[in-house]
Amino acid sequence: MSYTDAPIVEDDVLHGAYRGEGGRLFWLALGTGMLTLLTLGIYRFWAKARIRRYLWSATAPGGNPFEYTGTGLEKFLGFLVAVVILAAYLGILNVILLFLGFSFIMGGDPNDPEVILRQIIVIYANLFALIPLIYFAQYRARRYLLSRTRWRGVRFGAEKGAWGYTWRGCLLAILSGITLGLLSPLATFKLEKYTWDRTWYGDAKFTQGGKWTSLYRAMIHVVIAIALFIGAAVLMVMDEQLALLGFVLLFVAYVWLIIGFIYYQVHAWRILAAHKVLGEDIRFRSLPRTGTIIGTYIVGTIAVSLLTALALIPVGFLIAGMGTLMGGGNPNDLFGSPQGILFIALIAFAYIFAIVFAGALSMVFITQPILRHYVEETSVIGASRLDAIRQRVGDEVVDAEGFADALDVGAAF
Amino acid sequence: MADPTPPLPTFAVAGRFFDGQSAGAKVVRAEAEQIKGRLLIYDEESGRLLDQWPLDSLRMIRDPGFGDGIVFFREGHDEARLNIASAEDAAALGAVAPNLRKVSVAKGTWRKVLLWSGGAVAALLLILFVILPTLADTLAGMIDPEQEERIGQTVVGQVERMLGSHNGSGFCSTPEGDAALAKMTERFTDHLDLPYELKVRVIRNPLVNAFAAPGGHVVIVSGLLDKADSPEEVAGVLAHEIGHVAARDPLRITLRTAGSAGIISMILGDFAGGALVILVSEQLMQASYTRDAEAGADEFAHELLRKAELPSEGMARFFEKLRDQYGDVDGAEEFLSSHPNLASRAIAAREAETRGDGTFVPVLDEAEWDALRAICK
Repeated sequence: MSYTDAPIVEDDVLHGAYRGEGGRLFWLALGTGMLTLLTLGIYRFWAKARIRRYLWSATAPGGNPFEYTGTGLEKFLGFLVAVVILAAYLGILNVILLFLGFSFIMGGDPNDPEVILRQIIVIYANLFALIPLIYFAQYRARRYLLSRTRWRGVRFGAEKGAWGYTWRGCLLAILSGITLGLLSPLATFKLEKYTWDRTWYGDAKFTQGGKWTSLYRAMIHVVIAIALFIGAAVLMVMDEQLALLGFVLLFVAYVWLIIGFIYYQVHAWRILAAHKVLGEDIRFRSLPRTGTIIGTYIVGTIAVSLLTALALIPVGFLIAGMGTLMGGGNPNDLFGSPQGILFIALIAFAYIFAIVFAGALSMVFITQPILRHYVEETSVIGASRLDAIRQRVGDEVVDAEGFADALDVGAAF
Repeated sequence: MADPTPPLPTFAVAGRFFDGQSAGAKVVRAEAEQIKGRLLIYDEESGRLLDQWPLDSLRMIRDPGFGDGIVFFREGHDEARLNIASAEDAAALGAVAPNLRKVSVAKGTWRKVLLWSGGAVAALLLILFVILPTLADTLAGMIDPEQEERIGQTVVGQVERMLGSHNGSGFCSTPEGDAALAKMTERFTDHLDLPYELKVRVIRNPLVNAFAAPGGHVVIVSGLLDKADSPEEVAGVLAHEIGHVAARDPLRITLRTAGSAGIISMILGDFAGGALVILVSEQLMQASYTRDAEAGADEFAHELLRKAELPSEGMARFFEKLRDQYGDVDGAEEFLSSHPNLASRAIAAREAETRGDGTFVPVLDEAEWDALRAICK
């Protein structure tokens, strides 16, 4: 494929290197997870900052680690700002939307399906009001993240532009929605170009080149899956005897579609990476593989489930032991006796511990391996020219990524 | 980090230096002079002194994602980085840096945190308990009464479906029962000034309950009629529901709840076990809205009973009956409940003494009361 055979001067290539270790990350994630729990969620900002510091510094192309300089404190303060703005905005908007719904749309005979449909529209209208905020939050969060990322002592950065990103994002989403996803490569490309054309490393700017139509290559498996869906529908409608075959095909199409989406993400990434330029002529090559990503998900999920189950065995014995000790009395007595309360506390602890434990494990078995794969499959071409890049002035981002945190649209780490 | 040999007074380690001005790396020799307490960083190639850091301001990047080596920086001078790749050298240099892991918190940070947290909490309380309720109440008053009746029609239909019937088949009607219900309602309507007509109906279900929907719809569940021993008890409940109608509570509370929905879960975020905390907090907030409305409706009912020259004793007795049957909410539980404590509601009703001398014209005569009770039979 053309995007892989760009001229490569192999002696001026910097290969991505990732040196994170599972054990360290596990204890870090488990410890910060427990602290988050004990502080009723307040520690989550510090937990995220520490995990990022770890992941960033594990990423070390040419032996020079990335550095995350964000702090939990600034994330916490940014969250406070964002949550007040969002509470006011969403609260008032929801009341007004429902008022308008009440005044003009709702009401009438409850047995009329149209009345019910209108009611559902009114109830879910506020979800649509959230969508622009999500684009806004994502751009702000990315800008914050870049401003807190350094490599070889030099900062990354992004220009302001969250509003521009928001309206473009909404417009493109509507466009790919009404074309049933046919124009989603356009949306992917335009948003990528908008963000990367405003991204800097030191005093060097990134440029996203290429054409949006080249992303159609990445859509291939989504297209195949849709064809299979149509085939399954035709089979099921055509003949009763073929209906069973249709169901099998439907299942295949469903799995194919999921794989197709992952394939699209991976290959869109490849194509877009091949057309990114930093400064005058520093280029990139990034060739992650769909199979590796899916394999990591499957193996990781199995490993996380098995290990969590194993870890819960001793707790299970303890609970069972206490259960027999108390002789299975009236459940209402549980709250009365100290043993009963201990028993309930134990179960609650086991439940919550399992969630934190599984979260830490999936960091080790899913998140880190995928990050490792992406980093190791990425190279910088023309790396010697990096030496000429100069420092940039740091960006002040008061709200940190508070909007993304409040709306829970942040990345995996 | 293990440190097998005590560091010499002066020793040198090899590293890579980034001056924080450009992305170019410099291969350096870093000389730690313990007696002078400083670190001299020399360019390996030219031998030029690049930088000079006091050992006590030497810091490391914490939570490193690798086992060997340390990245050092100078506290207060945020730009330059010294990357020591060899684990041994990094440990040796770390050993002579007394404040290696110290995190300095800028002056006034705690003040800032307290100020911002306090401000955020105050702002959120203002939004949740002043701005949104005021907005909801104002807007509820602006909805056209005719439109409100139509909304109420939909709501009543949905409640009917929840109670297990549809198309109005769950509602009970007999000529005598309807007449008795109308008589009971009329006893109150003379003293009311509502933007719409009261539409009181009985629905068949064993639940002991009654509710008001937007637009003057009041539904009495037949289980309540079975439970009541006198028409005055039912009249007390009806007066309470009329209180909700008069205050336009169904609409107001729906609007308020829509405003606050999701805000709590946004504040608390998504963490393990958080779902329970969110559930409890949302219940707390919603309950505080409805409890006020309930208390208001009770007060309205006392006043309405007084105007209709009826005793509040029946209402009090009915609350006590409910308490005996279903138990009461006490202590902390009360804050989670959408209704105030039944015992105190009974006491309040009795204290209202809407008919001081105890004499009154009964709401319904024997025959009418029997007809009402039999409306769903």
